[in-house]
Amino acid sequence: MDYAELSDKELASLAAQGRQAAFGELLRRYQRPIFSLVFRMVRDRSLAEDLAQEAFIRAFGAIRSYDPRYKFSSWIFKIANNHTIDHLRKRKLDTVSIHGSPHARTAREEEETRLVVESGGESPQEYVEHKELGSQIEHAIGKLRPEYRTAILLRHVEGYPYDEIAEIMELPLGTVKTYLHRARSELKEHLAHLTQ
Amino acid sequence: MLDTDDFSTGFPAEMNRHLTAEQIQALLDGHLSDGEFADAQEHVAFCSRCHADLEAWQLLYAELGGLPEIAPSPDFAARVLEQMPAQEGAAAWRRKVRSWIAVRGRGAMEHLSPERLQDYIEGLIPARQVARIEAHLSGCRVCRSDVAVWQGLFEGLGTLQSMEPAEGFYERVMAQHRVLQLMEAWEPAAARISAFARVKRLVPRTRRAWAAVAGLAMPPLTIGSVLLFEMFSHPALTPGYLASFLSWKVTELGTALGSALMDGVVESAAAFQAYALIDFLSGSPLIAVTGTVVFAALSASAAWILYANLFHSRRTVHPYAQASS
Repeated sequence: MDYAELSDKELASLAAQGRQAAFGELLRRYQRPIFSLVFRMVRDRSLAEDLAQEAFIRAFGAIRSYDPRYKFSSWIFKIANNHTIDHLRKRKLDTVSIHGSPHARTAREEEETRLVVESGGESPQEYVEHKELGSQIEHAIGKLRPEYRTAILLRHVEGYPYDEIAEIMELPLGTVKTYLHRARSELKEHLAHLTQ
Repeated sequence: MLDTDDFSTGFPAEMNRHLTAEQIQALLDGHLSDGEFADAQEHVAFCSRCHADLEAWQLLYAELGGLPEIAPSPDFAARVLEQMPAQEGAAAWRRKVRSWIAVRGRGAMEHLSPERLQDYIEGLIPARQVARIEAHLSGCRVCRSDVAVWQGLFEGLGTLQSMEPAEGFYERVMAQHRVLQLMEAWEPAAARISAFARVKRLVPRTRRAWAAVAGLAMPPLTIGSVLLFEMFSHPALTPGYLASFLSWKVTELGTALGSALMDGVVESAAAFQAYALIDFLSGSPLIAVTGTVVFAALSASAAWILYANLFHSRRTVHPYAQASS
């Protein structure tokens, strides 16, 4: 059976029967977006990997409770987001630094945890400009409240529609819209110096 | 509702009528129903006269929207109110004038809200309101500039990319998952709640936790290893000799403990007083009978509990089994 061809729901159903390959395929599909969301929430690579790993283990452990009437992506993002928000509330790690983890103790750790903004097919000048812009945006996102940050990342990085974001964040649609409006307004303020 | 000024285009009669000024304004104000809006849009697409009319109205809207804010002098409202006739109903007039001034003032300075601009860029505005927004934008430099800023922000956010976890992440998650599944499979049903579940909870789940456990275990392991190495590197020390020595020490310790127990408890003054009391009580027939009855009752209860659990156990559903089934 070619697991790569199967839908998320089919894979979840096979995983619920204990098929390791189905778990593997789901992990392969979602490791990048989930890690990406968690990393931008906590801005610490090692911590983000631990949180993402725990989120996957939780989701896999509870795979039988997944309801196929809903999207699998919403379900797993919900688990990862709740886990990360819980962690942030416990640790109060709301502020982040583009220059590296706030927990870095050595220059090497700081370098390793520094945010790298990817770029493809650009001239060196464009690359530097985009990197700078990306860094400024990442920095500004890091200043948002965790809930706003989740909404912005799900909308603009993962490209989820409003109703799915509402499902993931377990909020009414109107609240999600308000979060996004306010989050963007805050980003606009934080980035105002770029437009002057 | 359509104008009766017909002309022939080869389209159905409804679509051959020109739009009235009211209809065009309603179109720009977003006040048409979806059906009316679709009809009007379709008509404008093929009717050059109505198309020109619509453009003229759009221009007018734009110019109105671009008018600079002109505020009256601060005492304007007061002066108007002073000149109002002091008769019955004057208060109602004052309220109307104040309301009129407020509405006019707000209308002159109103720009599109940030929420509306964001929704416009995201394409969330209903089609019939887009024309009105665009008419406003074409005449309002402030809102146009705002749109450009918002568009820049949206584009910037669009450049953010997904990030890759470190190499080995996949393998680590799968290994952890397999270990937990294995433990679940071997978990004895009877021990699910107690010991096994506790041990399972102690299994580290993250790299940091594994590092902490390894760090805590390292010093005693190192010290123990060094001591063993030192002991067994001595020429006179062999494993057999060490075992004899340990056995001797344990026996010695057991003997010492036994002696202490005999001296401190069995042969103590309190123990002798207790023996005397039991001796005295056993002489009384009533006490002896009561003791016998209690002893018999306890023995019978113990026997029943043993029987009920060993030979007559009812089938019980384990809460965990229920949850997983």
